[in-house]
Amino acid sequence: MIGAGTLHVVATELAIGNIALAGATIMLRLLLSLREETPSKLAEILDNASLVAAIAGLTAIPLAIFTGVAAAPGDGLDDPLLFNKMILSWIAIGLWGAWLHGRLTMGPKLWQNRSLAWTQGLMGMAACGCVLTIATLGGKFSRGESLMGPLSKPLEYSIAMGTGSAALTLIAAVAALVSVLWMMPKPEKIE
Amino acid sequence: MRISRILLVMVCTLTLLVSPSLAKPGGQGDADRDFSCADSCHVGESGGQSSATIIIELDRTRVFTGQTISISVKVSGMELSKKGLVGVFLMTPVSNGVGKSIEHSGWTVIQDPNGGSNNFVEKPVLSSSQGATFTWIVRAPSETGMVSIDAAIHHGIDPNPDEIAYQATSGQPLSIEIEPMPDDLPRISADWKPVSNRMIGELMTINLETEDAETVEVEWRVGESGSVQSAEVTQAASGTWSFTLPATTDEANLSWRAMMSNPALEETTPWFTLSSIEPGYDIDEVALFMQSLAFGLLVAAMAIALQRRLVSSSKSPELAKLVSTLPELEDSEPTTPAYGGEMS
Repeated sequence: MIGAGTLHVVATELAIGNIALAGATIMLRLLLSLREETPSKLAEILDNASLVAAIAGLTAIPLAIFTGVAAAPGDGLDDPLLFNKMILSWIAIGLWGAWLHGRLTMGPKLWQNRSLAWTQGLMGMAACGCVLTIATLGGKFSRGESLMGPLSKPLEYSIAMGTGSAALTLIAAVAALVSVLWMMPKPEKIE
Repeated sequence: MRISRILLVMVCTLTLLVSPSLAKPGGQGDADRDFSCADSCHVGESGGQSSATIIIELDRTRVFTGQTISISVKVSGMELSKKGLVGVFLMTPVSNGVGKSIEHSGWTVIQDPNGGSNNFVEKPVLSSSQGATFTWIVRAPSETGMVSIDAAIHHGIDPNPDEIAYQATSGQPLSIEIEPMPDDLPRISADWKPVSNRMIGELMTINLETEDAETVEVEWRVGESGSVQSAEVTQAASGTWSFTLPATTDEANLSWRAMMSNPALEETTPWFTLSSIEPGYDIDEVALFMQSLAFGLLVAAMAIALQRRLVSSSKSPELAKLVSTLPELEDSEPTTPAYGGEMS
């Protein structure tokens, strides 16, 4: 029988590895988009690599969440660090989902539009930063140390909503996403 | 091509700059652990010899089978890591490079120095010269005869450029003769387990289960050196004694002990520790999932809205026209409008 802790290690390594690769390739693609008028071969490779890595990482994040919850010691998520890991995990999923949505709907030529490239690049790096922060919180929880050093101190505290408030926020969030997807004009593939 | 080469060199350089690290400055956590480099540390041949002085002491001179006693391990003179975390093993003497948990030789850990029931515990130590005392409350083996116990220390150093652990054993295992328990010796029941912590501000009523005890008195003190007070003890049932310990207003420890007697014999337990802790972090997991999901969807909605806004702006004919006229506006001379007039 394989323990949830072991599966969590596998899932997090898959997620972190892919997301780190995606973050690095997105950053480099953004830099190239600011330098190049027409995309070079390297730019195309970086774009494809970032897309594949982001899809793989996004697939692994839910696995990491569920195995992480199962592997949490004690009675469930009884630590603010775990609480914040959970919140950041879903924010990362949201950001990566939006990044993929943008990349898949607008195509690779979005990088040739400066404002879109900036948005897409910063969004990808923010999503990557979210996942790396989650990883450092894991280190803080299990080993008492974090790569963020004192910067991780605020994440030792959390603001938890009650069930009613959380349900209302969820309804508002669903409504916001549905409105954006259905009411705002759909982007077309940039040619 | 040139850029790709520069990027390749940068990536290779960054990879080489990362040094491998095996250190565990946050400790390994309390656990039932055997003392061996394969299991409990990452010392190997590159490990360091600790300068610690380790002294093992018993709280009494004679030990009977099944008796509850305390074993103190005093450590001092060791190197300290930046966090000052020191781990101590209570174990059998090292044989073939391995010191097994004390429970392998028939002892039962009732309360370890951190309130658990492990043979390896870690505590921060402030001063190397003053050191620290790790006290275990254990139940003696049920078999008579000579047994040996040993202790080992495991810690880091500051600075620790080689990232190795330092360790040492006491060098002088303590030999204890386990004698047969006298008839009718008042004692704590073998099934009874102490409560090790409670919430700050909470009174704690403890039900102590004894055997062959006709009277029980309980003393308590704050920490290990506070003035000793007596607690009122009532007999809840035959062999069950109840007493209440006062609340504390901070994370202070109380320690208490029971003096049991019958007409023939008397017995005093070791000092048990009762810690006061802050209320735990309690959260409704359903609410947490909803909150997390809501934040994720909100962030996605905002990000997608931003993307679509930018796409529609870049495709807006009015905006495109405006942008195309900007250079002309900059270059052109100011002109008077054909039908210009003062605005009233």
